[in-house]
Amino acid sequence: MAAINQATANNIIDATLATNTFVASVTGVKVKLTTTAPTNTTAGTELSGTGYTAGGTVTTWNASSGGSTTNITVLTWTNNSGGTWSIVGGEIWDEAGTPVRKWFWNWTGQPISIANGNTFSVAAAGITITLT
Amino acid sequence: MPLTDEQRAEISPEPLQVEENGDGTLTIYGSAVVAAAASGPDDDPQEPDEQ
Repeated sequence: MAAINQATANNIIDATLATNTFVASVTGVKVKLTTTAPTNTTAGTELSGTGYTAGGTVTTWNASSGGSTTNITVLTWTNNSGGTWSIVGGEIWDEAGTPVRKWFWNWTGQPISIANGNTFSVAAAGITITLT
Repeated sequence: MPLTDEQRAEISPEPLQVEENGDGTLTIYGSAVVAAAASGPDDDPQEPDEQ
C-alpha cells in the first residue's frame, strides 16, 4: 500500500511512544516523479529528461485537518525530452543535506504516458495525504 | 477536436482529466490519495448479528 516511508513510520511510532525524538523534515519538501513503483523501503526510479528537474519540485502543503492534508502548490512538468514519459509513482523528499524520503504513492491511472510536448500537472489538492 | 477514446487509452488505462492547450499539446492531470493507516481495534465496532 502506497503511503509512508518505513523509516518515517518507525520514527512517528517511536516519537509518540517517547522512545525516540521526532525527526522533522528539513524545509522545502519536494515532490518527485518516478518511472517505477516506489515501496515503503525502496525509492522509485526518478524520471529524467528535459522538462523535469532531478530532485523534484518544492511543494507547500495545507495544515492537516481531520487527519488529512493536500498540496497547495500546482505542479507542472512539460515533456521536452523528445520521447514519451511513463510516469508511475510520486514521492516526497525533504531538503536535508542528504534528502530523506517521507511519503510515496502510485498515481491514479498509472502508468501515465506523457508524449513529447505534453504536460503532466497536479492541481492544488491533487495529492491527498491521510494518516488514520 | 476532442480526444478519441483510443487517444485517451494511450495516455492511461484509466480516465484522467486531460485538457487540450490549443496548440496541439495536452495537459494531463495526475492525482493521488496517499493513505497511511495504523491497524487497531475498530473505533466503532458493529453489533454482532443476532443468531
